Amino acid sequence: MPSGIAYAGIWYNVVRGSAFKVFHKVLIANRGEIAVRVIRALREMGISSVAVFSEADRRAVHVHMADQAICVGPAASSESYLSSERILEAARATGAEAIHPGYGFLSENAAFAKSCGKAGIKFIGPSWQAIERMGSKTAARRLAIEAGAPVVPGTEHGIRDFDEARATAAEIGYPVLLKAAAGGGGKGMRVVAHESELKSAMRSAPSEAERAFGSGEVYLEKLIERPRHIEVQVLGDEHGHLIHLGERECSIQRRHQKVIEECPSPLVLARPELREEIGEAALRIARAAHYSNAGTLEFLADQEGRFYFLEMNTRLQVEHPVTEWVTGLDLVRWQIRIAAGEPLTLKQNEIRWTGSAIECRVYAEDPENNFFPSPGTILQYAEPTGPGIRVDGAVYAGWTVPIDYDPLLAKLSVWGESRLASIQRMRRALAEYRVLGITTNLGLFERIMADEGFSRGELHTSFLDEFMRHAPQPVSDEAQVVAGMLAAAQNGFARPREREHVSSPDSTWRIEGRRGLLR
Amino acid sequence: MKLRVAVDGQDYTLDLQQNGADSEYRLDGVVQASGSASISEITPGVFSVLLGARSFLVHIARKGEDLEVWTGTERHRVSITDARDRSAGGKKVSTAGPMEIRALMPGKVVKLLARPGDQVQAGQGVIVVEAMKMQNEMKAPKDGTVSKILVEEGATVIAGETLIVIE
Repeated sequence: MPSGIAYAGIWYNVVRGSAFKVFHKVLIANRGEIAVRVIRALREMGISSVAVFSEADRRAVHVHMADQAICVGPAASSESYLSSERILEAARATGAEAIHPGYGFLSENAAFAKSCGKAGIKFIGPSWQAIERMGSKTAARRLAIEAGAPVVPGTEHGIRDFDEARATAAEIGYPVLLKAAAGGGGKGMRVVAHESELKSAMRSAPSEAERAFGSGEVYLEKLIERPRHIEVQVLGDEHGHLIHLGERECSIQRRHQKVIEECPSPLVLARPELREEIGEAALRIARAAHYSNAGTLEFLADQEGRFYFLEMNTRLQVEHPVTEWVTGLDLVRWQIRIAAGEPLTLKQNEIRWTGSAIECRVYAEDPENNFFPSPGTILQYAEPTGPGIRVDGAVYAGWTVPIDYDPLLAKLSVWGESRLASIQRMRRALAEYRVLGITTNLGLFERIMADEGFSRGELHTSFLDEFMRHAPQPVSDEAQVVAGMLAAAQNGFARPREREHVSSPDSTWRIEGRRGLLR
Repeated sequence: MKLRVAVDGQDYTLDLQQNGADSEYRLDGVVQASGSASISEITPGVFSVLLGARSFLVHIARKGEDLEVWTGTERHRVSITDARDRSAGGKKVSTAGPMEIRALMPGKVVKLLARPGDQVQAGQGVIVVEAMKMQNEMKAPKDGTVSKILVEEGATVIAGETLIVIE
């Protein structure tokens, strides 16, 4: 592995002594854990960071972690995090030379990437042309077919109306999936098992897609039964060199949104040659798109390992930490270096995958109530620590999870020498993780990690739905209940005035401590 | 000291006596236990509890009238009252008569799927509310007639607000 990656100091010397223009200041057009992730990379590289925030996010972590922070508008994303004008204005006002879009919001917006270019600000991601090329799922699919990569049978263009949908669905055969051409994360997506369900799906999916992505275009494809979701991370520089960093399996999903991701995929553990096959297919598509920077090609795989290209995400993925764990690479740092014009010095045959990594997305949501979001104030918060544990979060005790955005609190990822070690480590980490005041899905992860089917790697995208239907309710450990009651009783003994500090982030001694510092 | 403790709706009586640094406890209810425990608040709201030699770390936060209690990976809702205080019986929940559909959380009304006077069946979607980028189609809790619609499309609603009444 080239020394410039592992040792920041060496790399800086190389860069400063060469022709590459290093950014001095970068604006992060995002919020939450991904904004924090990017700020951390920038700080490690000696680059100043500019956060943008909405009025609902004044107390958010990314605001106080960045070197500069600018309020770009009200809580509604459309008037703040999605406002190209206001974000570009913030970049100009602060003198930021580049913008990192994170994921979601403006990250896959070709028009925004183009505006950045016009404003003389570097968009940290692929070219706007590549975003546009891959942005529509139907266009990406055509390109994949031309590149000789396998795709799921279905339409190659948007469905105009119900009659066309009915004719097409009958042709490819039920069950079919109705999907938003511009979307992701399950929004605007419907499973249609019979023709009788098609009408209501055609009524709701386009309008949901329109609201979420600004485009109501939908298309149809054949539903692969018990599929696995396997995706490939690619990384390319702006000089035509492109490599893949292996796969991630993201089959544990609720409402078509990932909650657990891992690398290697258990399917690759069973069939090691699959990594090269699927990686090559991903590279063929990425090359055809003239893709640069970090990107992810999503595939559906059946249980036998046949895989079909689904779509490309032209940005950093939420689940990039599992790839970072097993490859030892820092994807955000590479994104920034590539955007600065540096050549990607890594060669495909230098990439090594070591051990196993798993990530759990910790959401403010209630698995027992249909995964409904559960915003509110976090009263107590303790993150797991110790060997092989990473938490990418942006929350703290005393912070109120706003209702305006995605309820992702943090990503807990672990590394272990084997998949088993990784699962065991995740269970240990989950037992250390405490979030009080709001409901989270932490308890669900504990139950999934204890599941035999999960341990055996028998994954498919309906795993979680089936798990929720059949999994036994957790059996309470009586001693734990007793210990809890005793502590609660003890807690109750104290007079109310003394108890006030329990829920308050500003305990008396902390205030005293601050006063001491001011003296 | 004798306490009434409710854990996730299960009632217990807990007799707790201080005995030097330790506490003697006797618990009656669906679980019965007794013994000696060492309970120490190590940081505000965080307790180290030793039951014999078994060690537990318990996090507690007050949520409204109740306490949220975490031990290991378990999370429980606990309320504690003095055993001598005998108030508050169980509330009855009626299923007959008019039923209200209330917003589960703050959000925005995206679409009304029913009009006043419509006949609806249990499980039929009547209103779509969007919150945290998620659309939630709320369903009729029973067969009946839509008697009142108290919100308009586009309206912002708060948690607990009545949206629709079905009779």
